[in-house]
Amino acid sequence: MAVFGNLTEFPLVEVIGMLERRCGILRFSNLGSYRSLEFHMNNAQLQGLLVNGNVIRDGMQAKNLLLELANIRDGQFEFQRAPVNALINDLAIGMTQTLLQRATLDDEWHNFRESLPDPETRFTLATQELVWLDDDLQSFWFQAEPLLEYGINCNDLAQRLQLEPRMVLVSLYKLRAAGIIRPVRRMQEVSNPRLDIAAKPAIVQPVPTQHKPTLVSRLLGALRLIGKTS
Amino acid sequence: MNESKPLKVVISGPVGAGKTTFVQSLSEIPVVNTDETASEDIGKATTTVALDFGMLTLDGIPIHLFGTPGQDRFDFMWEILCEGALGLMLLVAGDRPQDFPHARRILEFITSRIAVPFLLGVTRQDLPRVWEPEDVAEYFDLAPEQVIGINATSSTSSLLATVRLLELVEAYDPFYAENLQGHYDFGGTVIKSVKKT
Ligand SMILES: Nc1nc2c(ncn2[C@@H]2O[C@H](COP(=O)(O)OP(=O)(O)OP(=O)(O)O)[C@@H](O)[C@H]2O)c(=O)[nH]1
Ligand SMILES: [Mg+2]
Repeated sequence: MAVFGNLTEFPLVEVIGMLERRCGILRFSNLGSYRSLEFHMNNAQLQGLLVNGNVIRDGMQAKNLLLELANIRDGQFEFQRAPVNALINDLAIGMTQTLLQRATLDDEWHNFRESLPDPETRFTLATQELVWLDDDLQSFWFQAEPLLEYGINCNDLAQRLQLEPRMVLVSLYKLRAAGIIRPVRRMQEVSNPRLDIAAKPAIVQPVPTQHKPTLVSRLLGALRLIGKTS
Repeated sequence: MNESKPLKVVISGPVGAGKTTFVQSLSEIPVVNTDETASEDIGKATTTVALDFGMLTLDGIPIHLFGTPGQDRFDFMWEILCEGALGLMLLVAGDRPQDFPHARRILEFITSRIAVPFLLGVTRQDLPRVWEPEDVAEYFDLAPEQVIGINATSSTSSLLATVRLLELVEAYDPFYAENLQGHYDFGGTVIKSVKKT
């Protein structure tokens, strides 16, 4: 089964982001002035590009096309997994970096508007690795990082840094798309620090501290019983 | 009698995700349903306008199942309901990716502010053209364990999803339910006030 949708709902940078760990072909039909487009991608790298059936081998041309597409917000897409040896392999373009290249705030606001997080959603650091950032995003990052470390929302960040909230929201969106920050999960902040939910969310054995079963284990026992008999 | 105090599970998600269906598949009582003819074109004939309410009794403990209405203008209800909940089951229909961005936005808003264990259920897995749970997990930036494929019309599938939600709760904190018991008193309050009159 495929990943499919429309750019009206997902900006291209998010489509690429969610396919980051996949290998396969992303197809668009009737996107802007293009009848058909094929992105052959592996690990968020653009390896091959077909425009109306013609292979594009020039990296600059491919990058320009990506930038052009970043601003188109209507077009059906579908992604099909494929083995790496089934892909064209002419190019090596970091798609996320290209798509996150700076535009004017008005353009970015317009482009990402529907996808921006709630200004009250708190974000925190996601990775130690800094991927490529453009100058503006990087200078925002240097100011915001110490505050993001403890989790902060757009409104508070804008106030603390004396920055325009719109710019802060777009920057948070871009940092998130680049995998540098992620939304806080309050549950993780308050729960048992021994259980690192982010890294290991699933089934951990309950701590055998007492003989009496915990409420949740009783609920689970009863549920599993219904499952067996139904 | 502290032990038989009710707990609540909240079922949220966009219009047509399968919330009412899911509650119906799980509930042992007829679901208190508030579906009405949709006043706007939302792609289906009826929609939940207040809450779905169902119940499941597990080892003598009543679990209240609250399905929220799916239309955006009721988003505020998620937050209110999630306070003191045992868990949040967020449902999205696997064949309606157009609803994912809004669902993600509100999930992040809620879970960055309220400590509630949650599971993302991708319904309609019985249909041919749907997103798989692992792809939806990538979009929502969630670990694969936190996303499950569901056929909400099936009791077995809905029960399995509930098991997974409770396993997550247990993983967060084995005593999570004990700690909650003082916080949610819906049934108790109702019963007490009924008895008084
Ligand atoms: N095949 C299939 N149909 C489903 C599934 N889940 C829900 N449906 C159907 O989808 C339709 C909408 O489901 P509802 O349960 O009303 O959705 P809802 O989330 O309560 O919608 P609102 O109350 O409008 O927000 C119904 O016709 C269900 O029978 C599923 O997993 N598989
Ligand atoms: Mg409903």
